[in-house]
Amino acid sequence: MDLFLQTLISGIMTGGIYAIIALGLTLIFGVMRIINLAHGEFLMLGMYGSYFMFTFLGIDPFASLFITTPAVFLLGIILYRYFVSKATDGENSLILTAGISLVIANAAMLLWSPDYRHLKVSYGTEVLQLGSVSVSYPMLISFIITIAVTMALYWFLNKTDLGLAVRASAQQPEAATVVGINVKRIAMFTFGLGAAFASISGSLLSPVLYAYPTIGTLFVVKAFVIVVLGGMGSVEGALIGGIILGITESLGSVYISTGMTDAFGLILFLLVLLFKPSGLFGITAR
Amino acid sequence: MTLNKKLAVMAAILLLIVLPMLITNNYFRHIIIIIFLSIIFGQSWNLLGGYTGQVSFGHALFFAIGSYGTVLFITNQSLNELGGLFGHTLDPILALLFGAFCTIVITFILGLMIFRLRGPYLGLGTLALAQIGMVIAMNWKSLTNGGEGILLLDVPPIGPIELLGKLPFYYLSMTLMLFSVFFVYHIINSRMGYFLMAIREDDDASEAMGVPTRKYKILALILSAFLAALAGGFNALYVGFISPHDVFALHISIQMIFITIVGGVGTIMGPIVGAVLLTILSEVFQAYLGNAHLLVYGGLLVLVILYMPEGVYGFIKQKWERKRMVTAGAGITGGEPD
Amino acid sequence: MPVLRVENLTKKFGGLTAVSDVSFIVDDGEVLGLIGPNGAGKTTCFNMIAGSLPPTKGKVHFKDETITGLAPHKICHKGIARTFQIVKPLKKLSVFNNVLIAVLSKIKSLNEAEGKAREVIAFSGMENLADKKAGELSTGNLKRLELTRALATNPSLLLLDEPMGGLNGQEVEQAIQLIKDIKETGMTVVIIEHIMRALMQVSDRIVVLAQGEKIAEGVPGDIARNDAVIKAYLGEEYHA
Repeated sequence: MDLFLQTLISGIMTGGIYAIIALGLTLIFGVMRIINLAHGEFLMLGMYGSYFMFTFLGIDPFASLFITTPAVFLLGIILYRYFVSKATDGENSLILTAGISLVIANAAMLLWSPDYRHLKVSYGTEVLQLGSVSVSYPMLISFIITIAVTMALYWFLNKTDLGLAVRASAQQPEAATVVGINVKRIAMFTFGLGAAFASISGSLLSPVLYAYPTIGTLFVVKAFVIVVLGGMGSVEGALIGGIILGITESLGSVYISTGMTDAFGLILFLLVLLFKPSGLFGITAR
Repeated sequence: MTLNKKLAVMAAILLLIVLPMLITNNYFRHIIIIIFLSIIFGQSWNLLGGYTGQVSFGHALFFAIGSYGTVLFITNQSLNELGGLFGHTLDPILALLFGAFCTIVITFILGLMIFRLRGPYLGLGTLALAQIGMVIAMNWKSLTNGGEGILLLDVPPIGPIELLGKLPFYYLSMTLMLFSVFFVYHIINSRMGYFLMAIREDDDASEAMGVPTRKYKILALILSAFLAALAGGFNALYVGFISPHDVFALHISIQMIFITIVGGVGTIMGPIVGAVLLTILSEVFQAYLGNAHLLVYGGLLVLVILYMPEGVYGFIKQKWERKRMVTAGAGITGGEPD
Repeated sequence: MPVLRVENLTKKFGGLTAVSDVSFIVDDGEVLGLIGPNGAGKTTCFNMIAGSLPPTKGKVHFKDETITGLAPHKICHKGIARTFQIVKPLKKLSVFNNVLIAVLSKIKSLNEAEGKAREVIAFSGMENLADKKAGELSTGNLKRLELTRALATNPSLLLLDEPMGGLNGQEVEQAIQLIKDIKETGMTVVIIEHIMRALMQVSDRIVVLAQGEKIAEGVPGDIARNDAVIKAYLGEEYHA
């Protein structure tokens, strides 16, 4: 029972971080109907950003978040404005973002070498005891930040004008244009926002995982599993989907087999794609 | 095909047959073998992606099954006995065919399900399939030896010809390459070819016109997978070692896409141009950038998608045709061609 | 026996009823006009007859067979051809190839199919456009191509969805003539159209839909004077 609880909790926490990556992806899909294969690279950049901030300036990753995230946000906007917005349809944007992904990941390899980078914070291995369950300290902080970020996004989308504009653009772009919303600008903003989210999750993961240039590929697949599971374009879906994936992987690796964990997520992914492509909460294709 | 074109093709084939006598440097022979392999990649992906309009991000799956099928035919005792039917003189060929056979069977089953997905969802779905394949291969140790891979120590000869050195592999890959080109050419110019293009242009309109779209998509998938499997089988024989991370890798799927898109989607020459370009760039940049030469792939992919949607071949063709029209027009009327 | 018999056709999308209990028949060689205000469910009916949408309830009978729910390509093989309201040209292919593909669905030999394609293109008067890319055609020609493709599948029933939408006056006249020529060959046609003068000229009978239901049926003259029809189109205030 203890093991179960432990596995469950750690799955939920990991799931939370996965959820933030997925949130970024689902926003981009929701507004622009673009499947961004370069999403993992934004995560990688966030990770490296935190690593360098920590190594050269001694800034804690949870603090340098506030510097690296806006930087990646800007990068996202630039990439959208000059490249992604010019792709003509779904398949072209898939190939285009695949190309961008290759460029960013390999540029990172050239600039920073393929060596694994380890961000060692002083509290990296500290553990909090909650009864019989031990929770990794950095993971706990990450989880709290995840909840905060998700709530902030929810508030943004529902209570601010800009957020409303984003939702309008996602649901009915032509109608949104008619009421004066600059859908192109919103798209650009949303892409940047999505990238920012990926970067945040990278920063949150930096005390816990090794950073390497191609780490993006690993996460982009996970992010898609979550987004498809929770429903493309749904914020709640991304959060719940993320947690479901986190728990599935955690339980699967402890109780079934570590080697096959990745497969569970993928099979779930395929099943959902085939039988309920709109996912748990998603908006169906326009 | 016009007489001129037929003569050109025959001349090209003759040149290819004679080439290794002229180029005795093993490194260059290796490059040409890689080019041939890449051409097969391109024709394979183009059949499904370029002509039928179904974009797959998981073609490595078919390459991999072809590889494993081929290797297992040679290393597995019971399978190997089938080779005895021909006195063991055709083992490598049978191995390739066995790899292809396994791929066709599995692809047929997948094809029945996967075409519920359209557009980019199909891309994602196929990507997932290839990843699942990798995980299965990693874990099914009794079949695939897991992550350690399988080493082909003794590649059997074809008749009296030992598969050692570059020459035999040159001719084997050349044959497979020519086969793939003529195979796709034949399909494209048949009734099936027209149906595939119709499906690419508009699925619903094709259905309304009486084209059984699902049947032809599955057929195109199987034929495309068949070619990829041959490439995979050849690769296994040539390299002599396969492992899940090598053969199911996403970068193989991306290479196939790259060759076709950069070369020229929906044409026979496109993948050929793409294969040559890709191989040469790969070699050149690997010297400077090491593994990061993929950066150049990525960059080219982006440029082509945005600015040269017909690919390098298509782009050159357009320019050449415009030049022809201008000079022809100028000759007759001295003015703008209509 | 009527060529087409539509029986209690109903289509619900969740809570929305697009078509409710629509029945009508079409006799051999007849041209039936299907009219009604926007959103009446006309195209939805076509989609159900042609197989791209399964009905929630009801049946479709073609000659002596029940064809409800069959895949579109199978329905095409049985002899029903349709055009789309928003045209679907195979853009990158030539006009000739567009028509050729339609012919190839029933004729397997490439040579024979090419001959038939040329015939149909000539019938429609599109010979001089045969080599043009479909994506480059004007609206009028796109509509004509749509019709030609449908004819090329050698149908016994033609479903035309707004074949004159977006055409100018001269093009409408040409379209009317083409439909009359088709009628001469003995073809059975159901045509959805908003351009009333054209529709009244070519139709033998008319069925009127409004808000998913059939509200009137009869010869063009009667329909033009029918109260319910006038009310449906012009609203309560204009009636009487």
